Amino acid sequence: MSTRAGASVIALWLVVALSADFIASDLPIAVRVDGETFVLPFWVRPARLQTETQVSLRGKAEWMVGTLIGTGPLQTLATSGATRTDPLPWSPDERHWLGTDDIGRDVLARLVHGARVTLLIALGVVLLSSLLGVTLGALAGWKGGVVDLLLSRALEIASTFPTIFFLIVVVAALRTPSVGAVMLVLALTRWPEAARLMRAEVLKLKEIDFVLAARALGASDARILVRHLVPNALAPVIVSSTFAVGSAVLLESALSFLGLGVAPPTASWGELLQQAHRALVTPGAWWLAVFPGLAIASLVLATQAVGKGLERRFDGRR
Amino acid sequence: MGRLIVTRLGLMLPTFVVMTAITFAVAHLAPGDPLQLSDDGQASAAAVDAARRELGLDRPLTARYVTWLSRLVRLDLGRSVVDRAPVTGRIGEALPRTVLVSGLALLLSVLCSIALGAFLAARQRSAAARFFSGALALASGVPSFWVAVLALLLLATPRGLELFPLQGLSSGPGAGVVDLAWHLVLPVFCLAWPTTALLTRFVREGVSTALEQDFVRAARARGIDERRVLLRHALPNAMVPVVTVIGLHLPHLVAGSVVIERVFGISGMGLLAFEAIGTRDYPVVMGVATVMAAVTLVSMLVTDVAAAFVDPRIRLPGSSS
Amino acid sequence: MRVAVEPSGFTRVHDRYAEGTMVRYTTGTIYETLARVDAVHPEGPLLPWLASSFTAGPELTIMLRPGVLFHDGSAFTSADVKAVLDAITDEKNPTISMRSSIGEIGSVETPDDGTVIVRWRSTPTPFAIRALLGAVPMMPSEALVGDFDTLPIHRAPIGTGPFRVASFVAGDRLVMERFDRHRDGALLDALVVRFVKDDTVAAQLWEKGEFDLMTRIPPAMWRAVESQPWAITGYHRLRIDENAYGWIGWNRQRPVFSDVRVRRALAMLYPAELIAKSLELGLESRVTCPFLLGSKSCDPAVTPIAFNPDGAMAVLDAAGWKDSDGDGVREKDGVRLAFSFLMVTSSQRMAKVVPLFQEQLRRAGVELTIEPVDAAQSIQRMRTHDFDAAAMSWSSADAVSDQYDLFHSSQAEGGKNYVSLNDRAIDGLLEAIRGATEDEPRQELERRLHRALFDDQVYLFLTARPALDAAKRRVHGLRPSLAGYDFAHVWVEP
Repeated sequence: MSTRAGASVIALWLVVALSADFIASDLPIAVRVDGETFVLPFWVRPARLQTETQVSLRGKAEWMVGTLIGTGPLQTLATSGATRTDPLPWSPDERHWLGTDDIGRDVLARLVHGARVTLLIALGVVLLSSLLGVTLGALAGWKGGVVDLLLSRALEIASTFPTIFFLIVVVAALRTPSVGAVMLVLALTRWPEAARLMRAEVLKLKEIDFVLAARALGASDARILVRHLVPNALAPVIVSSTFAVGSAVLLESALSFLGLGVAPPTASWGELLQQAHRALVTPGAWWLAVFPGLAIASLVLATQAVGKGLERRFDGRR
Repeated sequence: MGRLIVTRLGLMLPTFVVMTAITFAVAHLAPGDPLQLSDDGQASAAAVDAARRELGLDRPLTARYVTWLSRLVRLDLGRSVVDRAPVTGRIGEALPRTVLVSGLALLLSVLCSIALGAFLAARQRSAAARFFSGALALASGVPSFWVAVLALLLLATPRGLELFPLQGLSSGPGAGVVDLAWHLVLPVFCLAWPTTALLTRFVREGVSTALEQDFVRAARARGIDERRVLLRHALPNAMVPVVTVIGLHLPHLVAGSVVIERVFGISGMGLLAFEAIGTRDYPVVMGVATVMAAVTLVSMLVTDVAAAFVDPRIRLPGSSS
Repeated sequence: MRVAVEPSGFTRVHDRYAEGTMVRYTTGTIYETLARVDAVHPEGPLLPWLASSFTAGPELTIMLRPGVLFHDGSAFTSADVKAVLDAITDEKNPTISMRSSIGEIGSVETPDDGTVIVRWRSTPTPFAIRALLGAVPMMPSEALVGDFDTLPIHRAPIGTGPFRVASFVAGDRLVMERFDRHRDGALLDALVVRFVKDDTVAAQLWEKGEFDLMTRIPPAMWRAVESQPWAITGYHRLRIDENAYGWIGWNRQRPVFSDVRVRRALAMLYPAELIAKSLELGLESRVTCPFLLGSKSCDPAVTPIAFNPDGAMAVLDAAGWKDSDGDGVREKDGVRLAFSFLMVTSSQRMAKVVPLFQEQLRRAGVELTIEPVDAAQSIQRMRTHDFDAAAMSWSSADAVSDQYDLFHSSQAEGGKNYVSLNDRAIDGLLEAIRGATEDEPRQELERRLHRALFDDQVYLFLTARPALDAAKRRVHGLRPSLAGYDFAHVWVEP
């Protein structure tokens, strides 16, 4: 995948994630019913529409601007206007383009809303871990001495100790795996990488002319670190962060597979794949495994392509 | 180098204590109690309390950690709270399985990645190289358990080809080596896949960097043939990062992949840890943690020493002449 | 012969190894009890087994069957009965579960090798006598000497049953061979129990033909294989209506659930038919009663609450729960009609049921938040009443069961009254049932208890769960009954 293609794929998923409600929702984008007009009811949630869905409104509304997919990610066969009588999960048809899961929820709708959760987690993980890693790495590189020794040691251990064992223990210790909790847990496994890169870069830059000049001019430690060193040392961290988005998506799916992911009924790509494992029981429910798998692969490959592109760019500049 | 080893060893003990203490604390933070698991147990509150006292679960965390540590010094990991079997026995059953599967997987991925990496670096523009790098990129982009589930579906179930067994490492008592190898194919392959993708990248980068360096150019200029240049000069040079990665991988080799073990029903270390945490079987959790912490520290030491050995700056003067 | 079952321990007496009804496939064939449940009339009196006769009363005199041998060749005598009972009643041993079910035993006397006299401290309940006779496995006294917790017999059982253990690989299989010196004998040479926890995997192994007897088939698969030629031609299906049912409990310490009208409305919002159609596939029957479905202890006049969202909303309106601030959730006196639902992540059934229920509740202005927890956390939080709503199931290997520790107010702390039910009338009924020695009056009281519990909507009673098994056509003699299969009479065509 070229860098440009990768960037487009990421952008596409971001757009999908941000506009998930406009693509798939239980309520329409706008509707006029019984002489009353509702705009963006899926955000406003008016009491009048409490028991309505796009399916039930179709008959009574004067006009309605529906979403591309007529059902939301949580709508089960009870409200999706299902007419099929064969056993669940249902294979793709004109109503559910990518089929349904075993309680009749639309796979495409869940994939679209899952993109939101998965991307939120992945980006959150990278942001959190980078923040932590950059701070600690810069500190270690700049201060040196005992601080460096201790931090480097912690770093080595954190990057060597088996991630998944650690994750399982920490998740068990949490009462409930919320989106934030999963984010935090995954961030705990990635910070050493960011810290290592930052430390190496700061060590390199510390002795370079402009830093020495700033110091000679009487700038404080904190100022040099924040204004001069960190911005110049960020390049490798940014590159690795791009790759890390992909790994975070993979890790999230592994956690979900073990039943330690985001709380149901929230959809995430990992949760969708976990259901796919069960699809072995109802033989032939390939749509549950294939589409979320493709979504994950497309995003991971895209981040790798963009990461490589950034790497080349930063290398060229130097 | 002697100094390196000595410093490392000196730091190992405190590090080990810190690592196990953190695991101990986090594991005990989890709500739930090994004694309250069975719904059938109509245990009265008083009786449960008595049992808790007997197992020492009512004492403060620090006191329990100290007790655990003092037992460990006597090489006693305690007994499982769940089935009262000695923890060492449980680990003794699980560890060989995991080491077998992960060891073979690591071996496979090292061999594959060296071959592939060297090939890709030497023939960057060929169609085959493109195909392989594409395949490897794809490999690192899909979750390994997804590959595992699909592989099972296609190659092991009655709906697929039924070439391989579905579960476990043996078809029954008394099954031979062939049977074991047959059971190992899919798990080893699924485990080796992502590691191969990662290692190949390192090898390729190492080799292509080395191929552009002066000593390689000099070797070429002296008329040594390409194959020899690649194998004797460029490849050893690219091995440093590979050795580091392998070293960092050792703990994972022992930890096993809980995901792969779960899909293929191999009761190794990963699954043991996963289930022990599920049942709040603290002695087993801590037993696994001990093994992992120890291996982590040893592998860090070995990596450092090995890197010093393989480092071309030490070896090259002799070999390039 | 292969059986796919979940793993379990081997000494039911030990708390850790008491694993519910699944023990019948493992320990059930190795161990025998003094008496056993009548396969034809499970509600009726127990039939003598290792005992030749017993006289019930304030003291229990048991005459032992002569000539019974343990797998190690030693003779079964009254000393063994006493040793087992002593081990159970020893406060130091982790045998709380069994100890509490057989009641407070005062003394066990053995006048001769063939006679045991058991006396209780106070008049025993009918359930305690039944448990002592029908649930306590007999083990040789020598095997019980030593630290009970680490006795070898937990891993290498020695019983009097028709099969004895040949080998055991934890997490994999248990191989049993015929015990040739068993008084009645058995037809099969050996019995191999394969432990396969994962339904998916078990299903695949089954389809590969690895099991002669496949147990615990999920409803979806049971239906799915109806159209599969290999299953129709190769297997006959067995359905055992067990004494097991699922329920959703409302924690009564929470103000949201204090009003019976709310509990009633919640039951009206449970889409039972939809769930029956799409998940249970018509294989399970709804229950309203904590006793065995269709038994004399249940009042047949009680019918389940039907799914009726409009009715539920009317009930909630009438009870004063209205959405006045327009946030989509009803409230009353500042309390929102919102609660969290403790869901065990490993439960595939609840992963489907709860979202379906949640959707109906949301439409009616009730907010259900799913709180996924692992099994260990779930049990602890239920015991400490640290939950709003939770689902669980009860099962019993006997058709006659004591409900005291489930619903008596004294059992809220330390017992299994997780929902903190505190109702004087129900307490009174439970006490009266324990005192009833005759079957007929006891069943009359139990019917009244059934009505009281249903009127209170202490639980949202779900369905009775049958055990769905399938055996190869060449396997004969498997008779489904509440007491489990009698493997001694099973035979296989070559």
